[in-house]
Amino acid sequence: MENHAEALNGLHILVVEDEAIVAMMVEDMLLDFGCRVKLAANIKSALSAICDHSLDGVLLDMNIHGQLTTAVAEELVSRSVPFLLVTGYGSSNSDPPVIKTAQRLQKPFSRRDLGRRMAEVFGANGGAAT
Amino acid sequence: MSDEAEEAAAETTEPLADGKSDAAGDNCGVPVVGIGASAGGIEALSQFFDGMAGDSGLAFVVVLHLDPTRESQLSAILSHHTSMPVVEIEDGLEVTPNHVYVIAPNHDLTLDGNVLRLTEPEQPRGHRHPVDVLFKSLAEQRAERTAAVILSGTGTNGTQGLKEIKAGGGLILVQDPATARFDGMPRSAIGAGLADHVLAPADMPATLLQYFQHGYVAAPDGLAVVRGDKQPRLERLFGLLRAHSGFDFHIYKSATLLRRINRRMSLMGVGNLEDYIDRLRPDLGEVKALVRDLLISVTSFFRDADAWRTLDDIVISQMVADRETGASIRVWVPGCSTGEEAYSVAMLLQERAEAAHKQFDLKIFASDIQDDNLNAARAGVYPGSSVESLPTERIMRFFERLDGSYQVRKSLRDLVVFARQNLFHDPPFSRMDLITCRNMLIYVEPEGQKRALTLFHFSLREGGRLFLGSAETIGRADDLFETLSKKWRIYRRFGPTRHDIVDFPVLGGRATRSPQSGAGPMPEPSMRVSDAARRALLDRYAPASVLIDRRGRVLYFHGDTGDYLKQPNGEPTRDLLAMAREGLLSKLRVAINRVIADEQESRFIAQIRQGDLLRSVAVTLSPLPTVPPASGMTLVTFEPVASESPAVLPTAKSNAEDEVASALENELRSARAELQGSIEQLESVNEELKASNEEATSMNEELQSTNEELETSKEELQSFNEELHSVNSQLQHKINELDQTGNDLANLLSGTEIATVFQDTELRVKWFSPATKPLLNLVLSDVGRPIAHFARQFIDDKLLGDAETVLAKLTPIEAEIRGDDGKWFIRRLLPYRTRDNRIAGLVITFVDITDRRRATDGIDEARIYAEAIVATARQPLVVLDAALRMRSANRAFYTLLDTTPDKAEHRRLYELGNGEWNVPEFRRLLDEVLPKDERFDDVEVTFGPAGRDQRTMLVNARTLARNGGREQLILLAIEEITQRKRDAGHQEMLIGELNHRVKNVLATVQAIMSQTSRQSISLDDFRVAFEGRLHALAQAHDLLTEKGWVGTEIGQIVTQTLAPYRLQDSARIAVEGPLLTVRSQSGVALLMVLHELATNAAKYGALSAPAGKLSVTWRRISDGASERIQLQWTETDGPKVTPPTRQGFGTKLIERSTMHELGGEARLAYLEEGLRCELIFPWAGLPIQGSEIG
Repeated sequence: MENHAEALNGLHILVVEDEAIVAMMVEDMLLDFGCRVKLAANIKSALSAICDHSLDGVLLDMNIHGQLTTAVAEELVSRSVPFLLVTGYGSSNSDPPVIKTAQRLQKPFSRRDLGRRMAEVFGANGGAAT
Repeated sequence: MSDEAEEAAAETTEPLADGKSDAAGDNCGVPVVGIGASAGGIEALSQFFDGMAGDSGLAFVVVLHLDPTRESQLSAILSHHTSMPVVEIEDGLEVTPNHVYVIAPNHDLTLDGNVLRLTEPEQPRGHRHPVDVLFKSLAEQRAERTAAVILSGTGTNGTQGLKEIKAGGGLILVQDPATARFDGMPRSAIGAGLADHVLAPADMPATLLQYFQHGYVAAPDGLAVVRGDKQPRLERLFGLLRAHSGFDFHIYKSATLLRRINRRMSLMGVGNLEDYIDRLRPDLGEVKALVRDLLISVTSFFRDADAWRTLDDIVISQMVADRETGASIRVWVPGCSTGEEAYSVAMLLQERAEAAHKQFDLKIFASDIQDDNLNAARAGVYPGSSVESLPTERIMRFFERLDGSYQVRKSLRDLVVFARQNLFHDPPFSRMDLITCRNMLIYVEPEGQKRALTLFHFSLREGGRLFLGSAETIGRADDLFETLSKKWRIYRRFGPTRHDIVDFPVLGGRATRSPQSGAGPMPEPSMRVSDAARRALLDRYAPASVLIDRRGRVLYFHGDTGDYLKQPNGEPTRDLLAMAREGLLSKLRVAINRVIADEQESRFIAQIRQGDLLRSVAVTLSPLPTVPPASGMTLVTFEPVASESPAVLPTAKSNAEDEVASALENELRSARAELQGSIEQLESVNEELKASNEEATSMNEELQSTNEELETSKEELQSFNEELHSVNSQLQHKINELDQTGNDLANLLSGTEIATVFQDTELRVKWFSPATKPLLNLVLSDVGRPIAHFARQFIDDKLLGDAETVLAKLTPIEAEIRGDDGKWFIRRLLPYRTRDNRIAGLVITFVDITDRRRATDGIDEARIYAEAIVATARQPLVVLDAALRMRSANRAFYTLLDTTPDKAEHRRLYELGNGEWNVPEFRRLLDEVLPKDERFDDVEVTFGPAGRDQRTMLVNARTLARNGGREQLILLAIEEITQRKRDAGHQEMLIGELNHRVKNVLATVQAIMSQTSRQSISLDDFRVAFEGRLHALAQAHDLLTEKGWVGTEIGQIVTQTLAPYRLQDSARIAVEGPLLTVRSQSGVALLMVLHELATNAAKYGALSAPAGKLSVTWRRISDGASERIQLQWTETDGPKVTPPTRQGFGTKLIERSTMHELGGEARLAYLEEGLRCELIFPWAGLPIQGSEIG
């Protein structure tokens, strides 16, 4: 965990999450890791956040207010911004390709899970690799 | 046969030597066993080699039909079964004992000395007979030092080659068809009578070894040595053979005979002739086998093609060109064996005649002494291998193909009369244009050859041609035949018929005939009288003469030549010079030579001494101009010349007295007168006698000529008789065949129990089968009566009408009729066609179809039953034909398709409706899967475009019984599962959603817990706060669940949140607002926010003091573009409020939730009289509840 914290320290992370209490928790966790955190609660704000900020990674809830966040994921892939798809859904064949191939983080997750997955995906070495 | 021919040639000059020479007799050559096999051969070969010792001293050559495109594994397989090395043959390989050689694919294999030769096959694939090729070369190269083995295989390959092996004296083993996987090749070989042993493959090695160890093979040179002292025993053998078979083998060459007898001995495993004769005596089968072997000869169609071409050029073509249409052409083929040669002549003549657009009365007599051969020849069935070497046009023209073999067409067979005839014992045929007798004379002793040639001379008409085998010649009979082609042994008969040398028995007894009964050419009947007159004149006036040929041999005597010629001592001769009397010889020889040289008449006078007398004779030699000069015939005439010097000298005489003399003179005178009278009388009597004598002589002459004429006629008659005999036996044979066919047909017709009546064109009964009894009750005496006269025991009004129609139109008519006893029949009327396609009446057959009828009824019932089931089934069912056209369907199907039977009937399934059935996947199932698997089950097929109109069907299909030639039908059972499918999809979606939500809720719970714990001071504090929030969450979910997770009404949320506090003190809490529904998620957020506010109020705010009041109000704010909800939370009269120094969790949650989840804004005001909170968030405009949920 300390290793994660080290790896994640100073990363600029966007959290796309519509449920406030979950967003708050994630924010707290990220702050503990030493990340800088930006929140987006809907797709529109998420997209504008992507365009405006140079992000090191994104935690993307798959479903925001009942809408799939495929558009956001596509935007991220095209910009080579690494992201973790945070979801309670399992993967399904009917998913669009960007969703299918995305790195996932299953809800609910522990702080430890979050740190490990983030380090894997956003870590200094992991970089933009997905 | 070339070895045989050489052998024959050798034996002509040196009869005692076994003529085998060069390669054929090369005893250094390794004995080779040729093995031919085809399909199923590997198994048989394995068994064979399993039983074969590795040190037999034999070389084995295996020819198997192999796939030319694949590499052969045969040698590898065989090497598992023998200790001998197995070698794949390459061209030029030398054979070594104790080796197995395997043919390379797609080659012909021959043996050349000790070297194996591979050649490209001449025949195209499918017509190749590599086994025949090998066997033929083995026979040529090894004669008896070889064995041929035929194992399992289809076709007739090998049979032709086996004939060569047999003729060469080799051993033939054939696999027992019962043990062969494919018995075509073995059966063909056995059927041709070629097998020496029929054995299982495992039993063959022992027989092979016994054969090769026998003296016949091991030391063939011993034959000539043992021959001399075996002669008496051989005589006994011949006697035995004659007694049993009627054949006299004296005339055959003994070297050949001995070799073949020896071969039989080796097959029987008998070492000496004595024992063999003892074995032979009781064993009729072996006698037959021996006779067959002794008489074997190899023949084939157009054997020696060049010889046949020559025959065609110089004989056949000319013959056809010379004759007019309708003329007869007569050919005799003695020793015809199995008839190939006779058919060859027939084909050639037929072809030439057709080419010249002529029709001849062709008669080809083919004779042989073996009935087996004749029967085979008459049947005219030959193995493919022997026929396929002919040009295709010939095969097409003259043969019919029968399953692997060929039969000579009937038209050709009818041209050839096959008859049993022994050339040496039976009278010959006569007036032949051509005799072909090939490769028979080489088997007989020179004496026999001479006799045969004499007979041929007799049989041929003047100028007729003789065609012999390439190793045969006319030998010393050059006075009978003239050579036309020396190389190909074609000869022409010349000279008159020679009764003097012909000698054949007259119907059993031998004719005795004086050698001097020679006569001129056969007299024609019309010439009889003039001829007689001519003879008389000749006798009276013509001088004694003889007719001689160019060699000085007398052909004809005329008049009394006894004064000039006499027979010398010893054998009678016809040589004129040998017969000439003393004094004539030298001048005669000179004169003959001169006449032959100059062809000018020559005359001389000679003195002949006869006893005391000397006679002068004038001899005239005149060449006969009327006869072709080539014949060189000369007439030699003898005429006596008046003698100039008297032969007897006069003697002295005496004197007498006058008186006495005159008296005596008178007396003498009277006596003289008397004598004169007597003389005159005598003379007149003498004259009379002379006249009588002359009359008698002329009568005698006449009788003599009549006699000669009769003699000739008799011979002719004998020949005719023989010919008739042959034709008769052929007819007899045909009658037997017809009889057999008749019996077969009668048995067939009565055996089938099909009532059959044959009628003539007047509808009179000609013949009927016993099965007609229950229908027409015919008896034998009814034959000839019209069918209309008989009481029918069946109902058939149209019978006579139909019969007329059939006769008029010649097309068959069928009808189903019912018999009086309730049985059903198919009554069939057919025109009765003869073989030459003439209509000779009618055939009526009645086939009992009662059972079928019953079965049909049963089927009908079953069909109705099945149809009823289909109709009542609720599942859509449809029956299609093979072309996927609608046959029938039940109502459910039409409902499914929303169509009606009349619209759908007979249309293709794909065309039904709007083509919604025309789906590639469905087509693939019906077009590809179904024909292959005959069924498929529960296959899901989707029809129509994706979306709401898409329909899913579960399809089951069966092809229905296509056996018995019935049309194939397809049954489809269809079940629509669109709805079920949709439901299932929905359900799946729900489960997934539920899962997601549970996880989301858990995440929320986790967040609540972690956030609560962050700001809790004690565990108790945490527990209370956590339980409260969790409870709120649970409440929110309760609300949502109640409304089916679709939307929640704000009033309910508020009431629900405040419920714990309102119960205690309802007057203190005011709740007011319109009926508005928010999204489920917004509902949860709102509830959580309200919960935080309420907890805070209960802890620190208005609800913590008894006087505190709370008001919760909300309203819709509409500002044109968007609609929002404003919710006011107002606390009053509570404890005095102090703004918090730092933002607590509650505050943060309120702000965040409002902002993130509701997309709005929360304004918190810490007023002194109480907390005030205003939430403004967009309203999505959900319709009010009630109409929403459903």
